This record gives sequence, C-alpha cells and structure tokens, in this order.
Amino acid sequence: MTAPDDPLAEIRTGFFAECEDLLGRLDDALADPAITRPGSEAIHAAFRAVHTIKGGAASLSYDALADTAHGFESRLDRLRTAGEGPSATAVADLQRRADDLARAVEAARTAGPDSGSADHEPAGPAASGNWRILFRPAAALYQSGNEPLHLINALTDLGEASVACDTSLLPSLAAMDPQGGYLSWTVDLAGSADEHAIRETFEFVEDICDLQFDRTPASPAASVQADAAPAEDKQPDKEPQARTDPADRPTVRVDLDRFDRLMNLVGELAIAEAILARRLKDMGLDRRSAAAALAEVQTLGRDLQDSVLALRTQPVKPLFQRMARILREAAARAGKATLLDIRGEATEIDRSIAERLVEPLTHMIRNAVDHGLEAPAQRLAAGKAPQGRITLAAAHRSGRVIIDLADDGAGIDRARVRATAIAQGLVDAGAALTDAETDALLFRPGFSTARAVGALSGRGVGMDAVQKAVTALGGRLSLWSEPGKGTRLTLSLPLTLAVMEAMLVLAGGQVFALPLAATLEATRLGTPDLVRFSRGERLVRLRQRQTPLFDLAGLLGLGAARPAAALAVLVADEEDRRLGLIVDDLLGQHQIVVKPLGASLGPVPGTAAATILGDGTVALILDPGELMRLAAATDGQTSPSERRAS
Amino acid sequence: MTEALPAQTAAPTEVGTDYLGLSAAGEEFILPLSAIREIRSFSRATPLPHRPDWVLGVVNLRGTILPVIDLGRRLGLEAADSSNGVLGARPVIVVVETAGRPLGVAVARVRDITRLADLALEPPPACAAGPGGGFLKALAVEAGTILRVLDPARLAPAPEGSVA
Repeated sequence: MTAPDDPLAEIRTGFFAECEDLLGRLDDALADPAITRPGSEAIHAAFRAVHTIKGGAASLSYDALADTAHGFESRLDRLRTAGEGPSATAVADLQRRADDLARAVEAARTAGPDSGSADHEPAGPAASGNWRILFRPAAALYQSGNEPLHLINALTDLGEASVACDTSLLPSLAAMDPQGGYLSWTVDLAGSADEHAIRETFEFVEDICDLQFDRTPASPAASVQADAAPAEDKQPDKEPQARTDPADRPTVRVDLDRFDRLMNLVGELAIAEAILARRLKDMGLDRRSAAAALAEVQTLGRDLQDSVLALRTQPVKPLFQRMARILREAAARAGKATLLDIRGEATEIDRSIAERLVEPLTHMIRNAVDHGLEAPAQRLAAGKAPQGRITLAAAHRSGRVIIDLADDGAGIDRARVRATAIAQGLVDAGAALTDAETDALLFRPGFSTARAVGALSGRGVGMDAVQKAVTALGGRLSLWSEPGKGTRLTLSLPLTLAVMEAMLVLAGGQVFALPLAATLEATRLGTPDLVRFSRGERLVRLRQRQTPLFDLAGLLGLGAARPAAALAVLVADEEDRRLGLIVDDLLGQHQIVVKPLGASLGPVPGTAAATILGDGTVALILDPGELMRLAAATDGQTSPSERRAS
Repeated sequence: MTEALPAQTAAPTEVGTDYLGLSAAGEEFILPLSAIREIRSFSRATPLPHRPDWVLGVVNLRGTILPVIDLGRRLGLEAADSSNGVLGARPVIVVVETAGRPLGVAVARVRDITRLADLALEPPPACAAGPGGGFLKALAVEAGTILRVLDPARLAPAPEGSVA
C-alpha cells in the first residue's frame, strides 16, 4: 500500500476500515423507510456518515473521494433541512450516490492518496496487484525427485518475478542431513497472473511443501520491494516479515457481537468453575487430586479470560496519532498554527471503545481548531502566543478512562450561542440562561454557530453526535469553558466493556457490585456519626473530608434506610467527588463479567450494568457517578446538569 | 419436490395464527406465538432501583440479563387471591421479543395453544373496555367466549427517557 516506514499507513488502513463501517451505516439509513419523513433521524445519520468520510478523505489527501463525498453531503444537507422529506425517486438517487461513494472509496484504497503518489515511482506493470508466494519444501519433496528450481522457473514464466531464498535454517555442514530440506523461497510475482495458474504449478507437490499465497496490493512500494528483493537473497529469515508493511500485517476484524458471545462464554466458564468448586467442597472432595485438577482448570480459565481480554485492549496511542494527523490537517486548513500536547498515550483502552471514539474525537478536534482557537492576530492582541495549544490527554481514574481535549482559545462565546439559539428558535428571546444551560445548547441536534461552511467542520454536525456516541459507550461528557482561557471537553468512559474488579456488598437483602477502583475504603462509623445521620444530617467526616452519607438500599429505593447499620463504604467518582454508602455487609472482592442491562427497561438509576454471581443470580453494578446524581436529586440540591458543568 | 412445497407452506396461513393462552391475576389473555421465544420456570428476580412496581427486576437467562415484568400488575389488575401475591403459587416467565429486545413476562400460568383464523380477529373497541384494555391488539370470539389478544410491543415500557 505504502512504503513500510510510512507513518500514515496504519492511519490509512484505519480510515478504510472505518469507511466500510460508515458505508454500511449509510446504506442502513437510506434503506430506512422513515427517511421520507422530513428531518428524519435516518437522513441525519446518512449525512453524518458521509460527512465523516469526507473529513477523513480530506485529511488524508484523497481529494477525488473528498470531492465525491462533498457533493453528496451538500445534497443530504439540503434534504435534512428541507421542509419535506425526499421522495422515493430522490431516495433512489441517494442510493445511486451512495454506490458512487463506495466506488470512490474503493478507488482511493487501490490508488492511494492523490498528492502522495507523485512522491513515488510509478507502479509499473503491476497495476492489478502482485502475488507473494512463500514456498518451503519439506524433505519429502526432494526425496520424491522434485526440483524446486523447476517449480520456481515455472513461476517466473507467469510474470515478472523476483526470488529470495531464505537460508537461515541451514545447519552447519556437519549437522546437515543431506536428505533434509532447509531452504525456503519467497517469490514476488508482478503482473496479473491468476491464482489458478500459480496453484497449478505446485499441483503435484502441494502436500509435501508449505505454500502460502498472498496478494499484495499493487502500489509503488510493491514494485520497489520487488526490485530490491534480489539483492537480499542472503538475508536471514526474519526478512520476509520485516519487509511486510505494518498495514499489511494480517489482522482479523471480528464482529463485536461474536466477540461478546465469546466473552460471555468465558464468563459462564468462570461461574461454572465456582459452582464446581463448591460442589467438590460439599462432597468433601476438595483435597488432593480433585483440588489439583480443579486448580488447573481455574488457571486455564483465568489465562483464557486474560487472553480474550487482551484482544480487547490496546493503548490509546494509535488513536491519538490519528487525531494528531487530523489536527494538523484541520490547523493547516484553518490557517491556525497549532501545537499539540499529547499525554498518557500508553493508557490502555478497550479496543471497541477506541474504535468508536474515532468519530467523536475527530469532531471534537475540528471544533477545537475551527471554533476554539482564535486566529493568530487575535491571539497576539489578547497577549497569547500566536500558536494555539491543544492538549489531548488520557488517564485511568476511578476505574474509568478519562480523555481530555483542551484548547487555550477564546472559550465559548456564550452571547453568540444564545443569540444563535434564539435565532434558531431553540430558546425564547427572553429566557434567562445560566452558563451551564447555555453550554448545553451546543449539544442540541443541528445547532451551529459557524458562519462559514468549511471543508472540515462547521455544518452543525458535531457536538450532538459526539454526545450521542459517548453516551452509547456508557460514557459521560462534560464541558468546561472560560472566556479568554479556553475550552475543555472531558470524556469519562468505562475501562472496558467486559470485566472489572468489584467489591460485592450486601444492602437491603440484595448483592451489589461496586467498581473496586472507585471504592476507597470500608469503615465502621462511630456512634456520633450515626446519631447525626439518623437525625437527617447526611454529612460525615471521612478521610478529612465532609462526605455525604446515604443508605444504599434507601438511595436505590429498595428498602428502608437503616441508620442503625454501622458499616459504610466510601466511593469516589472520576472527579473525586465522594459519597459514603451504608451497607449491611461486605462480601469481598471479585472479578466480575459486565453484562449490559437489557435496553427494554430504559436507563436504570444508579447502575451501570449487571453481572451474574456464582450462584447464577444477577447483581447490579453500581456506578458511583450515577449514584451521586441520584443522591443529588434525592437531596433536591443542584441539578445533575449543573454539577456536570461546574 | 419443488411442486410440493407451495402447498405445504401455504397451508398454515390459510388456517390462521397460533396463540398462547395465559392467565394473570385471574384473567385470561392470549399472545401471538410468533412473539414468544421460550417459556421458563420462575426464578427470583433481582429488583431494580426506582422502577414501577410492575417491573419485577432482572434474571439470568443463560448468561444474558433478562428484564422481567409482572403481567397482572402491568395490566393494572388486582389478584383475586392475593395470598400468593399477584403472581400466584407457581408462576412462569414467558420470554417475548419486542422490537428485537427480549422481555420476560411473569404470569400465573400458561394454557393451551389456540389457532385462530386471521379473519376472526377484530380491532379492540375504541373505549378498550375491561381491564388492561390499553394493551390489547385485537379481540376474537371463539366457542362463545371473547379472547383478548395482547400486544407484546405495548408491554415493555417506552425504551428511553420515560422513567428517570
């Protein structure tokens, strides 16, 4: 695809993987019968998909693709704001355009970026793709009288070929078995040889050698490799892998549902193990051989679980690199010199979360550049450095991943937000709005203060889509902004969608799981604390801080408050706001498998998800942040949205 | 072979649709069999915070979390015999699927499967008379009794934002 040292290779691969997903969503949206209604969600979804493809294409210099997407996007933009929905013929036209877009994506994938291709040698004859054949004869091949040279010669007849021999497995002469096979060959075959012809060459030796056929996409880099290959004949055996483009490294994209099923099964296995262990103990078989066998199974189970989990996590680094590229591109287009400060790029994050953050983060970064940072002249006038500074940081806090995007720009122009909202009829002209309420307007669908429609952002796609995407991941979004100082958006996301360490507690006869990372301590309360608690003063001094104290069962509406209980668990959310929870008992620390609560019942206050305990019953997983909202609502104090924004 | 197929597939549609009979709080209802995924014995549900009383909670359905509602309370019916609660002594959970989402519906017991001709169904009267009227999809008269067809989609609460 590109030269092996090209830092963009991975980003391009990611972009095309994302395009596939977006084209799928576009198709779904266009197939939705509701699309013919004016301002339907389907037309918005179609618009967002095309918008994202356009942005990605523009920032990676796929100019033709960006143009195709731009035309399509403009059409969708007119439709989504039109008074009446598209007619059936208009929808058919949209579907034709979607097909054109898919073709443009495919063309961009095979042809490479428009501006970049000039930097390389032309692709030569290998326009339709090259073959790489790895051929490792077994001893039996030689013993049966076959000759690798003939086979390789036959291959070279099929097209322009370069052959590399791998001699790294050759033992010393003394140790060599003269009848053995130690050599392997890599043949890069240019031109349009068909697979059938290649396989035919090896027809009679297929079962006595190792064969691997790979199609390497036609590209300038491929022909460069082919030219260089003969000189590398004597290179050691790492060579073939080392030459492989990182973007071409074989990866498997697995449907997330399938993966979740695997994760479920692993969780079930852990539960079955726990039950088995208990049964063995009940039967008095928990000693010696049975115990050893069980321990073995448990070790394997844990290894399996760790392996499955490892498939799910990755550092945020590739995501941040991709964002850095998007930032550079956005800054160049906006004519704003920008410094990017990246922190915590080693922070591990669930792969599926990382994938689903690409879109929201892209919108956030473009917003920060287009709307957050001032033009250089304005910055100088405000006494700031001409270069805008954007900070992208990741960290683990209280069992969640926190991603911060901050700029040192002008901050939100709340007067303009307000004026725009009034102009768009979102609020009454006379309405008195707090800063938090004004900021909340930015998250309304279709809201935009942008004056010019740029190539990258400013169509009003953005903050509502960001909000939606983050919420869908079980995350929260908070916004801080100060005039003249800048804007900061903070995403708080679950660490993983799969398992967590939890403290199990008993309250009101129910078992609840508290994320261990958010659990600071369990403490016995002194009598004076309880007296104050029972009189309704819900503050207690824990760890040198006045902390609100709630009865957990009472807070959840699942039982009467029990001020007589003396055991409290201190929890903190990711902003280190604390809450004391009175519980009946502590049941210890466990690794639990996180299961989504069925969507049938809507959001459940105070809870994030559920898990299945060793006895097969369901326990709710509590979310300290949500408990605090619940506590605040119970107190009738500040509303959750105000707490969010402050 | 290929000629035999149309006759076989056409047969059920001529006869009608299958319905499962069930009773809750002393009243009888029927549910389209096509909406029912399975029937399982009742197990104690883990209650959910701040839900209406007709939401019993969640249970473990082979590793996934299944929300369960109490049909009698959902329909606003009071049990004639309340000594065992609204559900009765041996309740079962009927797992229905609405809009792709499974929902457990706890009932006192399930009865037989009835096949009704599609033509025999009538829309419920506008005033939706009788208990649970708002949840009815249709009415049918069979052997002199009126059968009430429940609409599974209306049993689940509105999915988002309805309860905070």
